[in-house]
Amino acid sequence: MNKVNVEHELHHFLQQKFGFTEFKAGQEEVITSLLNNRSTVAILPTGTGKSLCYQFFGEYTKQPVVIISPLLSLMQDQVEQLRLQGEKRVVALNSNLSFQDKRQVLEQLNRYAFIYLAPEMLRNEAVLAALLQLNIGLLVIDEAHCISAWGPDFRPDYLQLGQMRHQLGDPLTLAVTATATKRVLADMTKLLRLPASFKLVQYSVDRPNIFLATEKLPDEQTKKERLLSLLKQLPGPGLIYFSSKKQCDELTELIQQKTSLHVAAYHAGLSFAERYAVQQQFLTGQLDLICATSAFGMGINKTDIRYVIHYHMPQDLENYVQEIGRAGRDGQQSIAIILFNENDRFLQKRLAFNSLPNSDELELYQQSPAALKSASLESESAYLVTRYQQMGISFADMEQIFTQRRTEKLRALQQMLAYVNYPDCKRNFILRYFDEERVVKHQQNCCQLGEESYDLQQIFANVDQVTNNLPKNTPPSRDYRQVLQKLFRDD
Amino acid sequence: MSKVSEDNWLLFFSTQQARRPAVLRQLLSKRLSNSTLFWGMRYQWLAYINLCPSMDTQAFDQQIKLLCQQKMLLKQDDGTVLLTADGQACQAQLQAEHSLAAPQVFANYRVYDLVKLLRLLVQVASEASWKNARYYVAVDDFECQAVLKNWVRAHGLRALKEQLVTELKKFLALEDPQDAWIFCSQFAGHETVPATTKQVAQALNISQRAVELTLLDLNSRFVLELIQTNSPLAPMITHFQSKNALYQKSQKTLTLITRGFSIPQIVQRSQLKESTILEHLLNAAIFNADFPFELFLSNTERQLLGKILPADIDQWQYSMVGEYQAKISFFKYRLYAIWRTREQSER
Repeated sequence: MNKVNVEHELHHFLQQKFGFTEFKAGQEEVITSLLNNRSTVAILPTGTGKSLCYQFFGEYTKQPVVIISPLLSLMQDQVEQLRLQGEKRVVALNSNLSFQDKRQVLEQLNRYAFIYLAPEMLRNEAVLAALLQLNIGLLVIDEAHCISAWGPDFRPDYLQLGQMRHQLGDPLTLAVTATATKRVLADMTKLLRLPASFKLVQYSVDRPNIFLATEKLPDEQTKKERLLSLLKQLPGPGLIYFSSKKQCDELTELIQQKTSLHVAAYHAGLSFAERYAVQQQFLTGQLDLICATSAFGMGINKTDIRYVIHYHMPQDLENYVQEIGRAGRDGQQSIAIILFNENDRFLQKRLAFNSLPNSDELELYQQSPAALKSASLESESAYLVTRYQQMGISFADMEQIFTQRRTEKLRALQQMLAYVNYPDCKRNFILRYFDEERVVKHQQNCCQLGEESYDLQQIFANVDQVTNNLPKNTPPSRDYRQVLQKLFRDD
Repeated sequence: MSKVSEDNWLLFFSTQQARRPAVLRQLLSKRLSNSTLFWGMRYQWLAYINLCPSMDTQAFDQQIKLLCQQKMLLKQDDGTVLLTADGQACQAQLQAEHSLAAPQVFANYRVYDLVKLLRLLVQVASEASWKNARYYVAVDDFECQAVLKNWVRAHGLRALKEQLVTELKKFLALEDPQDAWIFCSQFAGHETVPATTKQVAQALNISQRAVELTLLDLNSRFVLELIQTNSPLAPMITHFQSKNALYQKSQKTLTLITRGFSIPQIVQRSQLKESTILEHLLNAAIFNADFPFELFLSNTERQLLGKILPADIDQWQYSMVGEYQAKISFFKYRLYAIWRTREQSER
C-alpha cells in the first residue's frame, strides 16, 4: 500500500473507531512509526491525546497492549475512558484488586485487549508468567519520565522496567510523556533499553493560547482577596490548584460564601464516589470551578477550561506545565496564573523533602527493621525505604539516591522560583527549561512581563462567553419518584 | 462513600454506665476477642459489630480524647468514660437526626461494598434502559462488576432493570420522602449526575452527618429487604456475606457439645488447645440465647458466685472469686457473668 493509501486508511479507521476526523499533533506520526515496528518515544504536550496512539495501535492491529502506568488514579481514569469508548476488554492490575480478583484476571489475561499494570506488579512472578503467555503487540510506558532520577517525578519501580522489558522479549515499545528535558530523555532511552533505531516524536510544550501570569502577594489574606477578585472577573469554567487538602477545602468554603459561583473541592481525601460526582458535575457544566490538589485532572478531557490558578506555587515546571495544560484545549484564549507568596517557597521545600528520608532516618531504619515496618504505614519516606529494600537496593545506595533526589528537587524548585520572578517573557523561559531551541516572539496575550499589570478584559476580548443553562449543583428534582423516572425509561 | 462520622461516637455512651471506648473501637472494626464480645454484650453494642471495618483506630482514639477535652465525655480512672450532661444534650440531638435501624446487617454483610454494588446496578440498569452503551462507569470495583456481569449473563439487562425498579419503588414508598430523595441522590445514570453528601446537606439545610447516616441506613435496609424477601437480585447481595469465622467456629464447638462430646474429646478431635475451645464456648454463650449454661454451671456454683460477687456486674473482677478460684475457673466465672447479663436483660 502506498503512503497516501495508508494515510487514508488510518484516517478512515480513526473516524470509524474513535469518531474523530483528524489526528492531533503527533498522533499520526507515532502510530505510523509503531506500525512500522519501530519503538517510539513520544513527548507530546498535555491534551494532545497520547493515549489514543496506543489505543489506535491495539484496535488496528488487534494485538494486546500492555500499559505500565505509575498512578492508580491515572490508570483508573484511562480504563474508564476506554470503557466509555465502548472497549470492554480492558483491565487494571493494581493493588485495588483483591487476591482472588487478581487470580481471576491472570487466568483470563488473554481475553483483554488493554492491560494496565502498576510497575510493581511486574515483580510478581504470577503476573510476569501470565504476560509471557501473551503475544504482546505493544508495551507502553506511560509517564516515562518517571524513570529518570534527574526528573521531578522519579519512581524507583520504573528503574526495573528495562530489565522487565527484556524478560518480556523486548516487545515493540512506546514511551510517552508530556515533558522531558534532554537529560531525562537520555535516561529514558538508556534505562528502558530501547533499540538504537527508536523514533523520537517530540512536540513543543508551548500552548500559545494560554496567557501566563504570576502575581506576588505579601500575605495570605491579600492572596485570598486577590483570588476572590480574580474569580469575579474571569470567564469560566476554571480550576484552582492547591498543595494542601486542608486549604483546598477552606478556600472552597470561602468561595462558596463570597461569590455566586458553584464550586466543589476535589482531592485524594474524598472517596471515589465523591470524586466521581464532582468530576461529572464539572464535565456537565453544573460547576463553575473546582478547587483541587494534583489528584485532579488526569484523564479529564474538558475542553473549555478558561483558567488555571495555582494558589500555591508548584514544586517544579514539569508539573506546572502539565497542570496548566488542562486549560484551553478548545484552542480558545485561556489564562494560567500563579498566586505567589514567600511562604510557598518553604511549603514546597517542606513537601518535597518530607517525602525523602534523611541520613538519620535511614540509619534508624537500617538498625531497626521493626521501626521501619511500623513507620511505613504512616510515613511516605519510610514507605519509600521499604519499597527500595524490596527492590534489593542497599542502604548505602539509598543514601546516595536520596541525596541526589534532594539536590534535584531543590534545583527544580529554584527553577520554579526563577520562573515566578522572571522579568522577561515567561513562555521563552519554559521553552528554554525544556531544552527547546525555538524562541517565541513576545506579543500581546503571550504573558505578563515581570510584575506588570495585565488586563483580563483585553485578554479575553475575543472569547465567546457561553452561558450554559444546566441546573447547578443539586439534582433538579427533590422528588425521588422523578429521579427514578429520569433514571429508568418506561417500557 | 458514606461513613459514620466521629460525632456519632457519643451515641454509644451513657450517663449511668461507665463504658470502655476501646471495646467500641474493637467491635466497630471487627477485631473481636471474647473479652470484647463480653463487654460489647454488657454495653449492648453487639449489633454494631463491623460498622466501620476500615476504621482508622488511631483517629478513633484521638476523637474520643477530643470528646473528653470538649467535656462531652468524662474519663474515669479505670479508662472507662461516662457521658456528661453536655454530651447527653448532643446525643439527644444526634438521635433526633437519624439512626441506623438495622446495624446488624454490617456484621453479616460487607455493606460498604454493597453500597458500591447498588450504585453500579442502578447505573447499568439506567443506561441500558435508555439504550446507552457508552458511559463513564461510576464504580471502579472489579468484584462488583464481576458479580453484576454474572447475574446479567443469567438473567439479562431487561430483568435487571425491571426487578430493580420494582424493588426500589416498593422500598422507597414506605420511607420518608426526603430520606428517599437522599437515597436516590447517590445514583448516577442516564442524564443523572450524583450529588455529594455535602451538596445534599446544603440543599436540605441539614448536617452532612445526617445525610451520611441516612444513606447508610437506607442502603443497609434496602439490601436486607432484598435478602429477606428472597428477591431475584438477592444472589448478588449474598455474594457479599461476611466470612464470620469466629461465629462459625463457636457454633461448631457448641454443636459438638450438644451432641454429647466432652471438652477433652473436642480438644482431641479439633487439635486445638483447651483454652481455645473454652473461648469458643464463651462466644457461643454470647451469640446464642438458648446456650445450655446448665451443662457447665451447677446450681451450687451459681449460688456461690451469687453470694461472693456484688450486684453490679460491671464491677466484677475474677480476683473477687478469691479462695474459690480452684473450684471456679475463669471460664465458669465469665460464663456466669454472661448468664446473669442475659437474665437481667430478659427481665
